[in-house]
Amino acid sequence: MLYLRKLQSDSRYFQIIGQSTFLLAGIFIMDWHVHLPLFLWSIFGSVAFQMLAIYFGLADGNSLRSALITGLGLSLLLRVNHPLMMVSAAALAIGQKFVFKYKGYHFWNPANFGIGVLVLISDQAWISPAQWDHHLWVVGLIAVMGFFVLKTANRWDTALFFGITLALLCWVRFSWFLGWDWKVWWHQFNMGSFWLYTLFMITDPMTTPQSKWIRRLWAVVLGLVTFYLQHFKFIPTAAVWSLLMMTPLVPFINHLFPAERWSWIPKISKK
Amino acid sequence: MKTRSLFFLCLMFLAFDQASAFCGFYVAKADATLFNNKSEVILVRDGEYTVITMGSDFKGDVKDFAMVVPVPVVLARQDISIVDRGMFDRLDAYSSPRLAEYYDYNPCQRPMIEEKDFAYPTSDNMDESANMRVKALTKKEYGVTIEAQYTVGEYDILLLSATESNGLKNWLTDNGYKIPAKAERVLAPYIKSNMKFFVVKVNLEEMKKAGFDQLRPIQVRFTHPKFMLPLRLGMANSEGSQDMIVYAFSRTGRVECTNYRTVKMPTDKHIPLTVKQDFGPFYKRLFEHQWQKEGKNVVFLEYAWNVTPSWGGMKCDPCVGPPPINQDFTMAGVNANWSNIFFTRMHVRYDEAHFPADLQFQVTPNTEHYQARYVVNNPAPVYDGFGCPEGQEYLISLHNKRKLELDEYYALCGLSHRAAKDYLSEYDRYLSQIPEEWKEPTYENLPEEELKKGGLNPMDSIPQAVHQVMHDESKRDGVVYFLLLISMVVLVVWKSNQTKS
Repeated sequence: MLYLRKLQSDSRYFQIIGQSTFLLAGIFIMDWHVHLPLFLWSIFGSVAFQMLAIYFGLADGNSLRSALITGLGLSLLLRVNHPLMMVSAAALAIGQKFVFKYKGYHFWNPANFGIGVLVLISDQAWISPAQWDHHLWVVGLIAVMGFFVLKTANRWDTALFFGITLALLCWVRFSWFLGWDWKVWWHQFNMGSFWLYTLFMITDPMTTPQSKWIRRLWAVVLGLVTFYLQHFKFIPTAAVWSLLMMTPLVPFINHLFPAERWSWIPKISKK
Repeated sequence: MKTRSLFFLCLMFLAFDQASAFCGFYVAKADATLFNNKSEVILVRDGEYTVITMGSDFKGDVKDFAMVVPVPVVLARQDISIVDRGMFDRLDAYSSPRLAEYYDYNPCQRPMIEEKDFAYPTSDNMDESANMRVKALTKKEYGVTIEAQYTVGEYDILLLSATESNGLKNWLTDNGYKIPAKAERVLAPYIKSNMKFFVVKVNLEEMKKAGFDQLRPIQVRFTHPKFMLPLRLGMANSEGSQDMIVYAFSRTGRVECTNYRTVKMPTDKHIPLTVKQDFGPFYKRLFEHQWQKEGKNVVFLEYAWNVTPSWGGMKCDPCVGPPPINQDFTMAGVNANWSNIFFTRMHVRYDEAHFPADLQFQVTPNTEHYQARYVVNNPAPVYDGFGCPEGQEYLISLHNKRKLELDEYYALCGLSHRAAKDYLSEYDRYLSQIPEEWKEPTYENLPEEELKKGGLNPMDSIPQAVHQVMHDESKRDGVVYFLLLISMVVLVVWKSNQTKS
């Protein structure tokens, strides 16, 4: 019981457990063991850069958990030709948190920034959207893990509004307009990478608007942009780019619609 | 003498770099002719510029041949051409899964190498890929517009756009194209996505003039962000599963599927020597087993390599066929001024139930080389036996090696080897004393019915897997890295807690 309460004290614990589970599943079931050195570099890199930031007084000690999440996120979604690229991604991801700041908020989700920018500027990195296959158990596991994270972080609504928007739009396009079998629609959604992205990256409380209904609206718009990029611009990794484009708006949205500021560790005194 | 020096050269090379080079002799390949009901496609992608070459293995009466392919734009005459069928054969021969062999030497004798024994798989008869009849056109109104009409080589080509699937279906049926009953449902989404239809039939007169008796591949070129292969029309045509081999060329690296997982075929596996005689059927069985194991909805990677003619590195290892040359690349649609050419071979077995959506692809910068390679090991020649102590040691290691090969065979094909017991104990008679633990039989020669059921108990594969991991260097490294990874995660969590308190 004590352990459970401890886990609930910070949703990042669930996130670490969740992402580690997927990494393990990838390593043991999907033959990712060939990438293990890369995983090591991304996690080690992220943690090391964060430690450096802590050393220089830019962040507090428990932010190491965030760095670990960033490292895991990079391992799960980014594929590179050389370990140096993974370290660069980690440097970009962690470094930008201290460079692009507005009123104490960083603009981008670190892993999202690291992945997106590296894929854009280098010709050695890419994203494999289909690497998770269409196994129902993967989606189920992601959903369960995601639920715990989002419940603790109280950000389930971002995932829900984003997911529903995208699901509806896809249904309208595939099943209703184009007349494909419902299986085509399901095939779109039964994709591990997509759910991993939805539940673990776009719901980052630090980079989503604080005000409840504005946040939900923001998730809907994010869904619209993702849909447009994926099905009209034929970009298979649309979610990465839509999030990269949309998150810089968040600090300004927070400025316009102020709400209680998110903190990973609840400010309730222990009794 | 020459072979001997090659043998030693290889040994030296192995000692330096075991991972990157291989020096067995190439003995056989499992080429595309093994698979019935298959089609072959060459893809070239550069930015949004796409070249698709469709190879047909149509074996029926050519007047029955017809093909309907959805394409994103109306193609101009100069964007359609006919290419030489031989290009497919050359690419297939070069990139197909390969079998290579090693030779042991008798430690009690001077090393000598036996003559090589080449065994090529025989090709099976191909099923007809399409059975459509072509009649003269009529001029009724179906909501179908003929956007363009060309005769290219022996083909009559139409580019149609349609407003309504029923109209298109009726138009095609009334004009003698035999369209399957389910086609209309499949045509509708393409029409609504604003795609055009590339409709092909054979012009018998032109064909007679040209003097070809085989249908040549058709190549189309266009610029569009969509990078996909429409499968759905083909599936409406056929009940069971179909094989497709995709040869893809890009400037940067591997081509991979974005909506189905791209899986590497198991490679560099040591398999029993007996497979040498029938490597083709072996690969076919292996493919079948892996396809089932992966859930029947993946794309298999069979080859990935930098094939730039000017690139100095090793092109294949060992080579199954001559590497493609500039002429092949130009014919495939690769622009002559590409400084880098990366070749990917994918093999997909698709059916309606497991492939609900068309295949979509992306070009990645992944330049990791890969080939599906299997290795057999020729035991040392007997000469006067293995009387010396080294010879006895060799026999024990041979027995153990063969046991691993049989395990590997089972893991790859999901079947026990037909003559497992005989194979394992073939050289045991030269041992002066058979070790106690061997007396308990680990393998039996299985009767035919057992083979069909799948042979050994699947639970046996767990210790086998552990065994394989411990004997496979890359996997062993994997375990070490994995332990490091776990310890780091634990350390970080623990450390961050400490800082907090």
